[in-house]
Amino acid sequence: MDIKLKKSKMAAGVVSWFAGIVILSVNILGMLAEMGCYGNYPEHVKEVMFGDYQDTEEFRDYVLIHMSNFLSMSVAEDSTEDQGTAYWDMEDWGVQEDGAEPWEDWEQEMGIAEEATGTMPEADYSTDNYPSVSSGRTYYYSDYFTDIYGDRYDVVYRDWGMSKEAAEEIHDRLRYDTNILYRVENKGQVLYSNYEHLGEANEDTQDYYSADIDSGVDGEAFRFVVPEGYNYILYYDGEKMRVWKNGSEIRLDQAEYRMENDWYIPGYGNTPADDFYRDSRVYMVVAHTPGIIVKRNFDGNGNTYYSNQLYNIRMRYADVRAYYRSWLWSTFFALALIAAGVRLRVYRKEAYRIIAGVTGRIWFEIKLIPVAGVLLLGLKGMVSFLQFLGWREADSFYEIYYGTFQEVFYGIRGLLGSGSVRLVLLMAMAAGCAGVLWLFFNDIRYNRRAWEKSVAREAAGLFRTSMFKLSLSKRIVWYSLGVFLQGIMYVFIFAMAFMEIRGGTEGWLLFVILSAGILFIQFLGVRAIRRMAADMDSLAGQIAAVHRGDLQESPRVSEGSGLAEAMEELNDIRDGMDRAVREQMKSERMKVELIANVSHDIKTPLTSIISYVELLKQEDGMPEHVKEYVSILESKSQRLKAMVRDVFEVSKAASGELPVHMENLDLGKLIRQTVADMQEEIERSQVGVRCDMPEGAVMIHADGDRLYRVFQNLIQNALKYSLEGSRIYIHLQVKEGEAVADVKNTFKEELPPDMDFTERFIRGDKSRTDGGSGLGLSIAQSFTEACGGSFRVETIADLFVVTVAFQCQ
Amino acid sequence: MKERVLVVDDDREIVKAIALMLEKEGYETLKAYDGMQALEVIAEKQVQLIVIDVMMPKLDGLSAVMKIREKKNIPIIVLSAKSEDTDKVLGLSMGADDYVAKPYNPAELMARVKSQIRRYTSLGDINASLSGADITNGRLRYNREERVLYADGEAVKLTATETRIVELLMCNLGRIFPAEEIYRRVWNEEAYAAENTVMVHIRRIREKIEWNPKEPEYLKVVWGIGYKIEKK
Repeated sequence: MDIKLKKSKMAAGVVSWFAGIVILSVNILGMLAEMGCYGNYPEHVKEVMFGDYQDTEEFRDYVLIHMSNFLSMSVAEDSTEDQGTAYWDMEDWGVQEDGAEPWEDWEQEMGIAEEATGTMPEADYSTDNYPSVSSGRTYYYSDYFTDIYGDRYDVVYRDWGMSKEAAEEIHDRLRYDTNILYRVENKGQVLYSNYEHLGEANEDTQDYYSADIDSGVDGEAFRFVVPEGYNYILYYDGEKMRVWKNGSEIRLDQAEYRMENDWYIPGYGNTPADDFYRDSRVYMVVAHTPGIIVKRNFDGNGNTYYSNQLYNIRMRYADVRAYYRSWLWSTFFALALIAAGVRLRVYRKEAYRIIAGVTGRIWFEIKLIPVAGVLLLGLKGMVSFLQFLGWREADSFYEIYYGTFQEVFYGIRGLLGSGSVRLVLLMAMAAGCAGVLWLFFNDIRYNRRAWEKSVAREAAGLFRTSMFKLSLSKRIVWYSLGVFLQGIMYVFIFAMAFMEIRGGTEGWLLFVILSAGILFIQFLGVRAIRRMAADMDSLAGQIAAVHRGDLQESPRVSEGSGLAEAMEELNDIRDGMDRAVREQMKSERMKVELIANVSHDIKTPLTSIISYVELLKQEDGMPEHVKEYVSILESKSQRLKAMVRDVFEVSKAASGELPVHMENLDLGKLIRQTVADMQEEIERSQVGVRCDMPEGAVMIHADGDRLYRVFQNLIQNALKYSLEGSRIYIHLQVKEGEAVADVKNTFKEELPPDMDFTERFIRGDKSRTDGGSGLGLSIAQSFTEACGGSFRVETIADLFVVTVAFQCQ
Repeated sequence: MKERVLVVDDDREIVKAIALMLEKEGYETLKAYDGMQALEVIAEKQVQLIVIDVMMPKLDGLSAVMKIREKKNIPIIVLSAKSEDTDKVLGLSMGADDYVAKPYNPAELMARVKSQIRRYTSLGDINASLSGADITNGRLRYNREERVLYADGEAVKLTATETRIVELLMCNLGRIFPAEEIYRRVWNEEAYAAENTVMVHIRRIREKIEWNPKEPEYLKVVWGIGYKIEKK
């Protein structure tokens, strides 16, 4: 498919779907709001759509008040105080009470004031000239009227009658209003009129426009003189009121002209005709299309007021009707758009994804700002709406106004213009808001973890990486500094809050929000420090474990703690040690095995050699020199046998596999026994033995057989290498809870320095010719250590000292 | 009648050497070179003693010992290049009567052979001559009335002091006596340089009763504690 076509289909799908949904939603919400405002909504719609402004209740009120005034005027007397009834509707004259009437749209009226159709000059109605309606016995309206009109109308109710003065002033005010024409008569005499010719047609008035009026029910025919452009006729004939509209009489006892619709007109059930009005005749006609007529300055402060209630009623009516018409059309339009959107849903989905791809690159906070704005606007709208509902409850008088939904946007209504224009702007606004929300949710829907692309997160990441680069000590310094700074911030906040709290709620709000923020940051800090402490613990534990020689455990620390590296290195060291120990143990085991095998393999031929040497020895008649050879063979084979045994044992001891049988024994006695056991050897040698041992027992825990071999080897060694005529000193003492035995002898040759005598096969003379395996000291050391003692060799000049120490029991 | 000894080892030279030594001592010998052969020989001929190696092809010495023990109770001496205590215990528990580690001391081996044959062939005689005055321990027997120690049935020539030491230890088999106590009891004096004196006598007695005085079986030094005759 053509990419361009596809793209346009995608765009069309999104736009039509979105626009359709928005328009439909606005309309549905608007309708619901309107329905909530009117008790009988279908009736209201019918009235607006199929009637004209004269069918409204406000219009009826308007004419009723005027008619009542005219009736009062018809019987006004010079000095009456107690006759007749007068209604004075100050609102009717555009006097503002508190400037808070919702329907008065000054901006709108200012905008079209130039279109005024009337020609009346601006009259000088200063406050001084205002009708002195308060003279005489005046009462503010009774409860009866409050029930009817609510508190909006500042009605002055005068008991029984109107003064001529007041009547004159009312007439003075109304005479220029060409939206209504009137003629007030009493006893055939015209009292007040702004159009003399008004009335029943006769020969004198034939020059004027006249209209045939249907008599209505009883077939009477009237011929009224009515100027062109006036279609609503009211006539009081002395008994009752009659009304014609567009040439047909309206049955006043029916339909909306009834008591329950606040239609109180003399001559009918609810308002019986008064005898006062027997001689009164009132003619009144209302313009079909009222215009702006009167422009007055009432307060003398240069403020201009208009008294154009009829015009306003007509305009509002037209406005509402335009709104309903647009509503209807836009609903159809929206349904069409939605249908198109549904058809293009495949492209739409793809477009969503593309849009999400674009929005996904934006930081989350930036997306959040408009969303928050819309939500705040919505909240404010809700609040206004609720306030409005409360307000409406108190004032349920008027019926035609702009509708609840629009009232929500009351503050900016002036900018929105009227009727369908307002609807379009409203929808644009709603579309903007909805678009913001939609983009947000689309983003969340298609971008996994949309919130991860955020300024806060990147800042945190940056912070963390820069922290990673710091050494542990520096990091701890930073953490402490952070805590310190938070403390300072708290002081500031307290100061600010203290000042602001006196100001009101905002201060508290600020205080709470900032405190929550700081507490959160502190929580993070404390958590980080706690984690670090735990890591330090586990590091210390691991060091202890390695020190103990426990090389198995491998605890981990958290990645970013700064101790991870140290822990890793420690674990490396431990692994190295572990490996080394294992390898060492393995090689020791292998060595022991090897030596065991080798010694076994040596033992078999050695057995043969020893056996045959023995047989050879038993041969008789051998020459002396052969006997000597045989004896050499014998001694060497015996030495080989000893060596094999020693090698095996020393290797076993070195690898820790020497079996030991530990028991409590007297080290002094053991040494004495050993010396006694070796008495013959000692006597044969050129060396003396001197023992210096405590009287009492020196009890230690060791294997007696092994320890015997230790001292036997030490003494043999000493005997072998001591200077002739010198003495071997064996000394035993208890020192600091240790039994310390040392064997000292003077070496017969100069001792080579830096020699490890306990190393295997090391000999003092290097000749390797005499008896012994060369393992004497090595065995002594291995056996001592296998029994849990310590073994040390040192040389001082020619003095050779071996020290064996055991813990005393 | 000459006693017949079966020598079993996979090393022919060792078999030959042992056989030669035994023949010099006046025994008749049979030879086998693995466990299976040994079993065959025993099935065919009357044998008074078996000297058998452990590590052999086909059937090892210990398995052969177990098989032999199923039918016969002739004395068996096990030879082994393994000198570990555990190996010794294993060999004896399998039914061997004695255990000699390689490389053996030829004289010791001969002594053990003699001892085993004597016990086997003249067991009845020894038992018959036993009286209430006799203390028997392995191949040692001490007659308290005669105050004579017999080793392998032969009287051992001991000095008076040596006899007193032997009497003390034989009457308290397994008990460890410190040198001082031995001195007091034997010499009836306060101990002075007891260790040396006692040790000299102990060594001399060993040379008279032990096959290998360097590795005594009966008269033992318990290093750091004292002396005893091991209870067999």
